[in-house]
Amino acid sequence: MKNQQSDVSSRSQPDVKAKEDGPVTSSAPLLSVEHVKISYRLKNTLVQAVDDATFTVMPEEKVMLIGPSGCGKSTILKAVAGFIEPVSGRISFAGSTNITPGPDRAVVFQEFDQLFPWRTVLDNVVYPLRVTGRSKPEAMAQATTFIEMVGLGPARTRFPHQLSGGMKQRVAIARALALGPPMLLMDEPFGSLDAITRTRLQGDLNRLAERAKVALLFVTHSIDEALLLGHRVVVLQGAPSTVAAVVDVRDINGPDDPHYRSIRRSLEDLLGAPGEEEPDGGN
Amino acid sequence: MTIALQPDLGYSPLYIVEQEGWLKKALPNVNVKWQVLNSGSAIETGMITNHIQVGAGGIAPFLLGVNKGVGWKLLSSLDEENLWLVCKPNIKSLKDITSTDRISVVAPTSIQAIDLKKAAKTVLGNPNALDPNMVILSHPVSYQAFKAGRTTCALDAPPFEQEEVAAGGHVVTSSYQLFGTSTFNSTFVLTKYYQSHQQELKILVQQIKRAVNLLNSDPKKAATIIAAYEKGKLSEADALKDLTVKGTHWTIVPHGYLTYAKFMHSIGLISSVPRSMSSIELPTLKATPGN
Amino acid sequence: MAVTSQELRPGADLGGTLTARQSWSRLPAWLRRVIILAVAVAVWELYVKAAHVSHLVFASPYAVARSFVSGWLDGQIAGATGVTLEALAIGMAIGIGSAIVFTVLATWTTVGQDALMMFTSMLNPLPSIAILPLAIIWFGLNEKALVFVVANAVVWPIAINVTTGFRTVNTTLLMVGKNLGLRGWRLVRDVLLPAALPYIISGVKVAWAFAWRTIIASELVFGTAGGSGGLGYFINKSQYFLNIPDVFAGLVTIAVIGIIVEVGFNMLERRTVIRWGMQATS
Repeated sequence: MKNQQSDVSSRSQPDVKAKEDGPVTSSAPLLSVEHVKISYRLKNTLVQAVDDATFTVMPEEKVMLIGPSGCGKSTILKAVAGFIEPVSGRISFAGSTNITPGPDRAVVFQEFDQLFPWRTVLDNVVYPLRVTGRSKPEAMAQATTFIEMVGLGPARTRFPHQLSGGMKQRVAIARALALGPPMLLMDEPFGSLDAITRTRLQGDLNRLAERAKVALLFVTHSIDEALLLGHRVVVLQGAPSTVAAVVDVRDINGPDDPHYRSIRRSLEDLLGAPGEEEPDGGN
Repeated sequence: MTIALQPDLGYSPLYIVEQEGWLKKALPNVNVKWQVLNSGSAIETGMITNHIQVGAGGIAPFLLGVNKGVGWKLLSSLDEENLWLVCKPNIKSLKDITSTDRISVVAPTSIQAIDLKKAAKTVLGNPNALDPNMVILSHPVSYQAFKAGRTTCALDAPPFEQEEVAAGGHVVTSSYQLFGTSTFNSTFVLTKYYQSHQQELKILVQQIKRAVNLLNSDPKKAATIIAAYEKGKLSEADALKDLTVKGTHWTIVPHGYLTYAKFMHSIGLISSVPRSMSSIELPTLKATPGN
Repeated sequence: MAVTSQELRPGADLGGTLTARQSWSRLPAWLRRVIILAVAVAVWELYVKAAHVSHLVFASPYAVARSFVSGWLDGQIAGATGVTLEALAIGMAIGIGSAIVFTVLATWTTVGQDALMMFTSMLNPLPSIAILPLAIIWFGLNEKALVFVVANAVVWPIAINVTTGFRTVNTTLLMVGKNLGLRGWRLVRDVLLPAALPYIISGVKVAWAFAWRTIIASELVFGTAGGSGGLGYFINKSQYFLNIPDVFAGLVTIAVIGIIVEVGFNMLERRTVIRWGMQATS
């Protein structure tokens, strides 16, 4: 606990780095992002989104990427997913530095329209399993299990346009988890949901990720979400952004925990603004 | 009074009457309108619906209309022309035509289409034998298609048929050979219009006769008038050449109608043959001086 | 009475003021159409009777019905329809195929995109029948020229629609596809094409309408072989021979085929894009 406290208060890079390898116990990281710099083209100008990002994710670890709007946290996630290539630096996943899009890093997006509108709930989950080589009966069984797990059994023959936003995100999570990936990349998946639904889905995700033994890289701009779901929080700052701190929060048990408020305040300080209680899902 | 004709030098007598303003002078109180239409079928419809009072066209559509009960009669003939079936050199006879060969005629009911059926009957024994080869093209397009090798044969009219021969074709048969000398174009009127406008129509026939006479007696002057009518699209020299083509004879006297009618009847295109010429022509024609 | 008509269910009672309208809208849709058709035919028959139009210009519904039935029974209209539909089907198939090739080129290369933009803006507004003379020069006086003209009528509206469809496919869905490891043709077939389906269907609908008008008009202008002419030629020939009921029977055939195809498209849409809640907004 004391370590973590001092970690939070420290803003210097070396300190953060030192801590990075600190608390995690076992083996090699599943994902390591080293001095990654990312630019992308917007119309005719080159926008520099990320200046220098370094962090790791261990197997089954839940790492939250947090930062203010426009700091490039989604950009980092897309680079890890293989949708964009960093200008410099190195990303390695499961020992490979050849990062192309693949189902071993299943992505769940913020947008509700990430489901195939022409497929039923069941087909939306079955199809990725078939594409990645499962037999039809195996895919059906796996899909059914995960749809039941997210509580959508009765809705499995519906088409996406017949679902609420929360239900759509559940399907997306079921689809990603059913693939059995070592890591789940989530880009503010609850950002467009109302507060009640969001709280429920956060709880469900905690439960499901635990069961699926999956590592999580989760982008958010809500401090509370980060504290609730994460083992560690990577705090991004500035534009183009750098990693301001990596905070271990795995022992915080919830808003009732005596340390919750102090950590929360430290994170607010790091982010340079009062953390929103209810992020509006922008970005 | 609306007079409708088609864009073809076969209608030259009417061009001259219009260009010289003869009818206007002879009938100062009648509002005469000249209308050039591309299709004989359109002229026919215009006459039936009373938008056109005097029509001009070929012999076969006229006979078909008589048979269908359009209620028109012949006002005057305009000319006799020999229509050639011009084919590529490798076609010596219609027996050489194969299924991929194309023969162009101007309309499905044109005199040329009837000529082709007659030729098919004479040479191949079946009037409809060449129907699958028949394509419908206007004279200028037909000439271009023949020249470009898109058609094997063309059955048009002067001056296109002469151009087609110049482009390497040869005459396989002709309308005179098939039916004897016969009228090409004529003018016709609905009888109910004739009954109320006898005087005007008599004068019209006189002006046509005058133009026909000019074409026969002074083709050079006629060519000058036609060139003026065509407003530069046709030179005087070309007009003269076209108007005096061998086989063309300018006359208001109809010729060969019953021969065509008999053949059309024999192949089922019309249900009966007119009893006599007088049953299909107007009295004015007979009464015209010099006839 | 603060009740607005929008708050009322269709057919709800509004104190008797709307009874006529209500009882009309309570009838099943097919019956309403049959009644309208019957009234139209009755007006038609009355016009022919009352206006004394020449039977050489205008035919009565009865004469048309007789021609229609006999024309189908003796195979004349059936044969002509077959000829037209065959050329149409080949032309549309070629047009759709080329449109897909153009669209793929335009989606993946900038040159292709520029070329497609230029050609569609140049050729799409041009009534396809205007290129018939050119088609005859290239292909001769045969069915190929008609097929070409139809293909030209089809290719541009489809290319425009499919390109728009591809370009507006939501990027999230594409990323989902890539995330599953889909590449190249697989990505096109499983994600891009179904996602662009509303645009593809509306493109094909427009293309069909163009193609149908074009082929009939082409056949009217350029009657192919007398022995094997299509519907347009059948109408043209009947007009020349003053068989006016046949002309109208040909026109009725064109209308009926139009209706059948429209119904087909509606069914297709109901089973796909409407069922999936993805109707095109354009």
